[in-house]
Amino acid sequence: MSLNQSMNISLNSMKNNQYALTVVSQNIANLHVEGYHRQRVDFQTNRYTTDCENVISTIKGMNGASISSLSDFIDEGLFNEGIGANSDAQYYNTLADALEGLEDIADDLGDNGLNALLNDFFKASANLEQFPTDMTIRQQYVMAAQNICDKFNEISAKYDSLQSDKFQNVQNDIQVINTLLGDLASANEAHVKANQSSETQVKINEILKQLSNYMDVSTEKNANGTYNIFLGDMALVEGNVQKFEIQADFDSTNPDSAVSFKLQSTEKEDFVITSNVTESFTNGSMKAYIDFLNGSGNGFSNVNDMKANLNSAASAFANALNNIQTYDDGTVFAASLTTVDGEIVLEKATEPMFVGNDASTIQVNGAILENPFLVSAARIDLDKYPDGGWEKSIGNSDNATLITALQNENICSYGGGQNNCTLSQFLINNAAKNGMDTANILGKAETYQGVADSLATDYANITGVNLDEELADMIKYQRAFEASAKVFSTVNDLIGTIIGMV
Amino acid sequence: MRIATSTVTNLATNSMGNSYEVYADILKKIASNKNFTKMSENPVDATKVLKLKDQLSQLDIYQSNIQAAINEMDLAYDTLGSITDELSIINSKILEASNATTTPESAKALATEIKERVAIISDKMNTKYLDNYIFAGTYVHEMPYVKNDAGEIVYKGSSELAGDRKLTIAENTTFTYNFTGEEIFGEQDGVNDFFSQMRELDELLNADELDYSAIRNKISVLDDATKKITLTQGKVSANVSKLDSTYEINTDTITKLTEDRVDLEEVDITKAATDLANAQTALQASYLIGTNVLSSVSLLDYL
Repeated sequence: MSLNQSMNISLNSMKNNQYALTVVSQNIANLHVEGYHRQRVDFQTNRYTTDCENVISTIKGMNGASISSLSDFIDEGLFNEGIGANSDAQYYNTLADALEGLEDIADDLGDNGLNALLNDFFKASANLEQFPTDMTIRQQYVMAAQNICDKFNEISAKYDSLQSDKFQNVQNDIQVINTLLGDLASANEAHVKANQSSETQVKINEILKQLSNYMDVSTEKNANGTYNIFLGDMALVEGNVQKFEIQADFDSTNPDSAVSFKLQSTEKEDFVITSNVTESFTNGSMKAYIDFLNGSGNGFSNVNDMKANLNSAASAFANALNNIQTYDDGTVFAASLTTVDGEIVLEKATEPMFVGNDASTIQVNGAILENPFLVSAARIDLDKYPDGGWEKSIGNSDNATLITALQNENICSYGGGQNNCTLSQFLINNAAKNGMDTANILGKAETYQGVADSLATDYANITGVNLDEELADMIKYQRAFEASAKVFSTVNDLIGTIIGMV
Repeated sequence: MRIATSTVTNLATNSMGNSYEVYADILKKIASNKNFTKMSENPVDATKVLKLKDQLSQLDIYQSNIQAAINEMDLAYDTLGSITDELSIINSKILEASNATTTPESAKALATEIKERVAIISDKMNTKYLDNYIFAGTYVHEMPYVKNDAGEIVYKGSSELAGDRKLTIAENTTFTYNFTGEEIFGEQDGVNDFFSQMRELDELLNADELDYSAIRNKISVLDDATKKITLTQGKVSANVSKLDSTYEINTDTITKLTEDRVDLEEVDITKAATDLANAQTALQASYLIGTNVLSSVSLLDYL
């Protein structure tokens, strides 16, 4: 080995180690950057380049070393597993959030809301049993009934509002998804231009990870390193082209409306795909919203079921009360109060207690609100008044007794049965089911988030930066640089000495 | 195993976050004095609490009705007792008048006194509890005994046939708590009822020639009325006793159900205080460890 060769080898070694130190510095600088993958330089011994040098010298490393490659610590399999787990976790997180919204409303069904008002109403009807002619008691009874109606209306409006909020969330998320799809197409293009660089790969991974929050990310990697992304069988992005945008439809004016999706071609305005698009979302926040708004068939509470149950409760209550209020079979009939010549007497009741037959429309009959005497607290059996005079039986409160008894009558249907529970039990059952579903989904969300976090940690452990490791490498490369510099200096001195001798 | 620096910092911050969450949860329980504020926090216990509150509310209604019935029954019992006293006085006056030594003048004086006593009885039969006449049957706003144009006391309440006033005192159980005047003083037929008989007695006592035997016979009318009143009082007494017993049972049930509700819903403050102390210690420990981990010595410090 000549002295010049020695100088060249040490010079190259200094350059190599300097580059390695630059990479270490870059790793340290990006220590806390989310998604950053550590890099490491790989060295290789130089092969012989002249006739006088041979294989043996190559093996002994007498030709020096050079940088063969820059390794990126990316584990594609683990990354894909991680975004799959993230989609699962986001599905349950979003669903849990939506169910918590439903549970907040369900709180209004229990002892903080509707059920408490029902109890107040039955207390008022019990008072009516005691004092069927007392105007104040009648007013209290009517107000208690109106409070129930107001609460039904309020809860129904809250369900509508929640439904509308969640649809707005769908719209917002769809907008984000479409932006991300566009970003992916651009990142794919940049990736090709940058010759599949680490930076562009990180960018693509970041987009895919973000997309996994909203939907299941089904990808296909092309030979040039770009990614196609699919929804069902349809490619939304192919290489650097975004083929479709996703659009959501929901009729907020129709309480039974379901959310649906379609694909709009970005290339042809009239090319729209509608079939199976909604079913193609199988994970992520989109699937959670679809299940929550449309019902999943998985048995957990959803906004439409809760609305239907509330309507059914309102309807059962209104029908049962109206039947008692206006009962008349020809011989036995409900009777309200009226005043004739200054005297309070009974008359056949004709005014129903409630108008409207679902939670959003139920109201106390305006005539009764205005005149509580129209409440029928009495029930007259004409057979008991062979000589007439029933009009004066104003102390009769048999109808009020029947109303109080309604508290224990099975007028609601729950769990597939028919008239198998009281109104109060029905409300409690709904609140309880909602609570249990929320607890169940919150538990699942925690579990799936744990899995996603664990995979993210595994991925970070493989691809992330460890400061101590970087510093050890930095010392290693520094020492190697110093050693090379020493060799260079020694050879330089040696050459100087030789020249001096000459 | 290789561990990235970000993993170490994430674990430290997560651990601090989790410890704080436990601590905050216990603080929330203490502040609200409830073991759960949402159904999903403990669906099973929360459902039980809802059902308990529902049952308590029903019992509250029953207790209120029972109390109202007892109050009215007590008033009826006392009123009937005082009517019996009046009947007893009238009885003694009739005995006095039926004595052969009684002169028509004395009989007239006795007639006046008896008439007053009868008027007192009719007044007592017009006793009201709150807004309702308690002996008018279902005609609660109708004064049951009034004088007609001829000055005769006549019954205006509902007949026994017209039915009763009822109150719900338990699930599927109603309690009848009213009386009609007819039940006590007989059907208003203008001849055989108590007040018609008393009118007849008045005529006998005001006659110029006294029929002692006919006067004495009127004692049977008083006996009959007294018997009916005693019978009614017995029924009232039995009913009040039954109501009292139901009230007591309900009170015990309410106490038990309230205890159950409190056990399930409300925070055991001793346990919560201990849990809070533990959580506080754990939180401080996690802060200490977290701080150490986050500011841990790395190789950088040796450079």
